[in-house]
Amino acid sequence: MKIPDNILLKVAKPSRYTGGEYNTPVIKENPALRFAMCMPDVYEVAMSNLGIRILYGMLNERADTAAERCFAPWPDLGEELKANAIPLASLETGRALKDFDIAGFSLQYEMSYATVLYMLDLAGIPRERERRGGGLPIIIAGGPCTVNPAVMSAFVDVFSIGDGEDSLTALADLFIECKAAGGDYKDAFLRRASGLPGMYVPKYNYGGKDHAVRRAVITDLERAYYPVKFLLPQIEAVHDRAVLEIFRGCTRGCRFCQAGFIYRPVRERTPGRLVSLADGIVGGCGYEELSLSSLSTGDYPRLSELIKGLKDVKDKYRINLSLPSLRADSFEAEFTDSSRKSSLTFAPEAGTQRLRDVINKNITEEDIERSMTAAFESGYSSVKLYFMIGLPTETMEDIEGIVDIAYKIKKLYRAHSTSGKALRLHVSTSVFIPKPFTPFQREAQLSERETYERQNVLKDRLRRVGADYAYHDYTTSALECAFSRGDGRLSAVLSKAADYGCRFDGWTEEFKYGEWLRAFADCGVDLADYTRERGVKEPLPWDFVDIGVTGEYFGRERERAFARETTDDCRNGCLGCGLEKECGRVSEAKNAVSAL
Amino acid sequence: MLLVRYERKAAAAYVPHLDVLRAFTRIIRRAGLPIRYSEGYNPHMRLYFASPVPVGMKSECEYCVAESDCGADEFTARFNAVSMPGIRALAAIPVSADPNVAFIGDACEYEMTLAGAEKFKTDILSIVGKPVIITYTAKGRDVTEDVTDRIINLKMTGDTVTAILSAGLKNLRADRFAAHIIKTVTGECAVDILRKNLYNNGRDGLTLIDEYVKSRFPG
Repeated sequence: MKIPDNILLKVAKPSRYTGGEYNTPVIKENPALRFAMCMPDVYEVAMSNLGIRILYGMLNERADTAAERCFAPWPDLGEELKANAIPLASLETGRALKDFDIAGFSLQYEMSYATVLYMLDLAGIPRERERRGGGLPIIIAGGPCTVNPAVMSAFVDVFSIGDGEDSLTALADLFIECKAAGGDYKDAFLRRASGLPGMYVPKYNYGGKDHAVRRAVITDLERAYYPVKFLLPQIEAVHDRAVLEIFRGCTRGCRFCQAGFIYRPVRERTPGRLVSLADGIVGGCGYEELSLSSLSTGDYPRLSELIKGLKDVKDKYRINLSLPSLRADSFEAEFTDSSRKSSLTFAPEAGTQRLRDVINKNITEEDIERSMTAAFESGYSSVKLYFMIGLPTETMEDIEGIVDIAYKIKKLYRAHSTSGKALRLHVSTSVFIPKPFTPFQREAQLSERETYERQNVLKDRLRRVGADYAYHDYTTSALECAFSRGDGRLSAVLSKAADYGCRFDGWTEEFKYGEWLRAFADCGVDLADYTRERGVKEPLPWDFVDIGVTGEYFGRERERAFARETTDDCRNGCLGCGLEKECGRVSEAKNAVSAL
Repeated sequence: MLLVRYERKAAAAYVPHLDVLRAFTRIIRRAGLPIRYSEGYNPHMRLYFASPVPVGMKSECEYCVAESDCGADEFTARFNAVSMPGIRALAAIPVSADPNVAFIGDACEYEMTLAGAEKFKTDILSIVGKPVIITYTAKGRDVTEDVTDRIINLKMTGDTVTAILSAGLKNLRADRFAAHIIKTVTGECAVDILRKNLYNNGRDGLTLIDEYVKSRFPG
C-alpha cells in the first residue's frame, strides 16, 4: 500500500516515499516478471546510483517485465511502518516487497549490509534464505560487494557478479521460462541460474576452486543499454545531474584500488554516442548540469573531442558541464576560461614518492606542482587533497610527507595566485582498507592505536600549516575491512547486529559501534581476526570467485609493491593479468563499431 | 513577463519549495521555453516565486513570475506537456512588472475537508466572531497566538469547511486552523486541505489575484 498522508506528514522529507517522479515509466499490469530494484540506503543516495538507473530502465523496456524501486526508509518512517503494521513497499505502485517475484539489492558498500536485513524485516521477509518458502521473492544481489559473497550468502539466493546488463537479462529470461513451466519453479530456477555466467547461487554452487564463478563481462559498451529518461528525484539527490558513463574499467593498476581490478578491462563509449546520449538526457530531463563518470576521466583517449561535442549541448540547453579537475592543465584554455573556478581536487593518496611507488599511484610531485600552478594562474582558490593512512609499509615519514605537500601548495599559491582570495586548503584522510581482488588483499589494517596516533599528528601539524583537516573514523573502517574480507562466520554477527538495531551504518549519526562490538562478542567472533594480515598460503573466502585477474598476478604485484617497483599502465603493453581473452573481445567489438 | 498560476497536487504536494523551484527550471528546459537568465558566472533562470505552501498541502493557486516572451497560452501548453506529475500550469497572465504576489496576496481561501465534520456545523461556524487562540509547535517551541482577526470568512458544505484566512504578513496557516477545529470541536479526524484561491483584501474587498494583477499590471 501507499503510505497514508497522516504518516507522511509525521516524517522528515516525505517526498522520499511518495513516488511520482517525472519520467517514471508506466508499470505494466500483468507482467511475467515483477522485479523490485532495491537499494539499502535512503532515497537521496539510491536515486544517485547509476547502476540502478541502467538496470531499472533496461528491465522496464522489456515487454514482459515490470521493475519498481524500493529503498530503505529512514528510521523515522521505519518506526511508523512497524507501529502501523505497514509492510515495506515499492515507490511506484505501493506493492509490498514480499509480493514481487525477484527483489534485487544493490550492494555498493559493506556498511549497507545491515540495512538489507532491516529492509527484509520491514518487508516481512525472513532474512535467511533457507527460511524463505515458495511464496516469497527470490533475493538477488549485485554491485561491487558481490565479488566476495561469503558474508551475505546466508541471506541472498543469487549473486550477480560483474556487469549486470547481459547477465540480468539472461536471469530474467530464465525466470520467466521457469515460471511458465509451473510447479516448484523457484527451485528449478535457482538450479539453472547457477549455470549462468556471473551468477553465484549459494544453494547450488559450493565454492572451492572446482566450482569457480566467473565474473560477467560485457564487451561492447558502445551498444549496451544506457538510459536517457532518468527519473528526476522529488528532492535533491546526492548526485542530481545528468551523468554519462564514458568508460568502464581502469588500466592504471593502483594496488589498493578494488575498482581498478574488478571492472577490467577498459570498455569505452565513443564521443559520438556520448554526445547523442547527453542531448537526449538533458533534453528529456531538463538537468542543469552534466557530468562524466568513469574511474579516471583524464585517461579517456578522446577527451578533448568529447568536450568539444558536449560544449554544443551545454550551449544549446544553457547548462553547466562539470569536469574533473585532476588534469586542469590539459583542458583547452578556452573551455576553462568560460567556466566557474570552483574547487580543485587531487588524490595523491600517499605523502611520499616512495609510498606512492609502493601503491603504484603514478602521480609525481612535479605533476601536482604543474597542475596546481596552472590552476592557480587561471584563478582557482580552493584545493582538496585526499590521502590514505595505514597503507602497507607506511611510516611517520610518509605522514610528514602529507604535511609537506600541503605546505608546498600554500607556497605555490602565494607565488602564482591570481584570484585575490585566500587559499582554502582541505586535507582529508581515510584509513586504508585492504580489499579482496587487489594486490593488497592479504595486508593488515592499521591498528586503532596507530590510527589515532597518525591522525593526531596530522591534526596538529596541518592546523599549523593552515589547512583544514578531516578524517574518516577508525571504527567504521575496521568494520568495512572485516566485512569486505569476511567469511560465513560474519553472517551471524551481521544478523545479531541487525537485531540490536544496527542499520544505516554509513551514516555517522546512525552508526552504533557499541552494538556492533556486542554482536561480535555474542557470536564469539574476534574483529581483530579480520583486520590482521593473511598468510600467503592462507585460503581466502573469495577464492572461488574468478574475477578474471589471476591470483598469480596479484601475488606478483604484491612482490613488486614491496620492492618499490611500479607497474606501467597496461594500455602501454599487456601485463598478462588474466583478462587477455576479454581484452581481445573488447577490441573486436571496438573495431566492429568503428567499421559501422 | 508572465505570471503563471499553477497547481501543486498529489505527490508534488510533498515536494519542498526549493525542490519545486528546481523542478520548474527543469520543466522549462525540457519544454524549450524562452526565458531570460541572470548575468554572471552562474546564470540562473529569472523566475520569482510567491510564498511557499506548507509541505503536504495541495494547492490550486501557486504563483510564479517568469521573465519569458512566450505567449501565455503557448507557455501553459508547452509547460504542461512536459510537467511533472502533480504540477500543472493553470493560467499565464502577461504582466508589465513583477506584481510581487507574496505581498499583494493577503487573503487565501482553503477547502478543509474534515471527516465527519458535518454534524458539528453550527459549532464550527460559530468560531467566527469569538476570540480564537491557537497553539502549535514551531522550530521546537510551543507558540500561542491570537488569530481572531485572521479569520475572514467561514462557510460549510457537507464535511468541507471553506475558510478565507489572512495571508502574507499576518498569515494564518490552514493546517494550524484545522488543528484548532479538531482540538476544540470535532476531535481526532482525517483532514484534507486544498489551497483554493488567493486574494487581495483591499478597500474594495476581496479581489482574486488574477483579476487584481490584470487590472494593475496589464502586460
